[in-house]
Amino acid sequence: MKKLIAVLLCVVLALSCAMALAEESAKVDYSEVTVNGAFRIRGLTPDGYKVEYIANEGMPIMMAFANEDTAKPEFTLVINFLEDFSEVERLNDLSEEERKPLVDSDPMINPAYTVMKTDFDTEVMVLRSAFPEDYDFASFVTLYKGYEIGLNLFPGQTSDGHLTDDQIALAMKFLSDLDFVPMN
Amino acid sequence: MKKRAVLFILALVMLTVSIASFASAERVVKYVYCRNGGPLNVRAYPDVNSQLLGKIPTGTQITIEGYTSNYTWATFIYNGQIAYVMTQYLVDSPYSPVTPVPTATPAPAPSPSGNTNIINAMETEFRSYHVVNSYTVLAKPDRATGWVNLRYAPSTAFGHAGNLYANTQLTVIAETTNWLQVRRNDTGVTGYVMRQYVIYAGVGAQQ
Repeated sequence: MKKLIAVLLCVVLALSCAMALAEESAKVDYSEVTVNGAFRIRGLTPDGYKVEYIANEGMPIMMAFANEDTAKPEFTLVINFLEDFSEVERLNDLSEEERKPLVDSDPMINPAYTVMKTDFDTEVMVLRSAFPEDYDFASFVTLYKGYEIGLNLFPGQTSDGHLTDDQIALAMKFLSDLDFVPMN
Repeated sequence: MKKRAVLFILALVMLTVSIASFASAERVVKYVYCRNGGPLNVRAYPDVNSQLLGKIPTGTQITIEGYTSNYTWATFIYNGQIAYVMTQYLVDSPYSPVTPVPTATPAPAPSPSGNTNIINAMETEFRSYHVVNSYTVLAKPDRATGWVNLRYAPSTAFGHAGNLYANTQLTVIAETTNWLQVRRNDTGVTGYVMRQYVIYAGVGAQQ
């Protein structure tokens, strides 16, 4: 009986390792997105999505993702260096007051933003449209070594024009799964 | 002797050409603006990893000598040497912060209707419409990873023809009081942007 339990445990462990490895290997190296020789981006492109275009000459660097199903939301990953936050390692290091300049000048967003955390405890500000009835969107903003990482999510072109909670969660998962791989 | 004369003339021609090209580069006055009110890093090369030459306070006026090809960096003379700052921290006029005064939401006016207001506002804009000699502007969103709306008509009531991220190059075709009719240099798509969300980058259409 003991032997059987031990064997079962081993099988479960092996399977979970294999699954973790499979997920890791499914990550795409967005090799064209190298940020000033500092890091490159790796991530899991959500099912049904593909990279529509990449702009990587100068700042900001951008990657736009679209789904064949045009009712599904589109999203754009934008990376821009912030000289005024160049010494900040990550968003978690800033107080609420210090974060304000990142968002409070934009009249298009609802000033009452929320903060979510990735699986690695990195804080992300979730900004929503100030006028969701006219123009809905969500922006996920965080900082990494002086770079602002922003993911902008827009309703699909043939959708009802509004984002759902599931779509917000999908975008957050994508951001959470992004790896910033140091190049040195 | 002949060789010397030829060399001298060649040197003179080269000098004249270089002076002419420097003079033809359009110098533009800009002001430094960091959202946190702090100073801006001045760098030796157009690279965020390059040597820091110093810092200039928000509000400082500088004369831009030119830009890198993608407009990410602007070059100017700093303490007698060529230096670079990121274009996204430059504005066309001195920034004067305005503290918003909270006001009660006004009750909707019974007439004219919202649509009439929109039409009237657009009519006013179109009355001031005039074609201009083309010049280049760069999109300047309020957030570093945000965007500026490119709209089909000079009104916020109209749907948008695309998102313009920071430093997107636009050729101005025409102007109204509050809006610019522009053509994206990368895709050729045309539309309208609000004046306050662009900065001037130079005379003529550029690619």
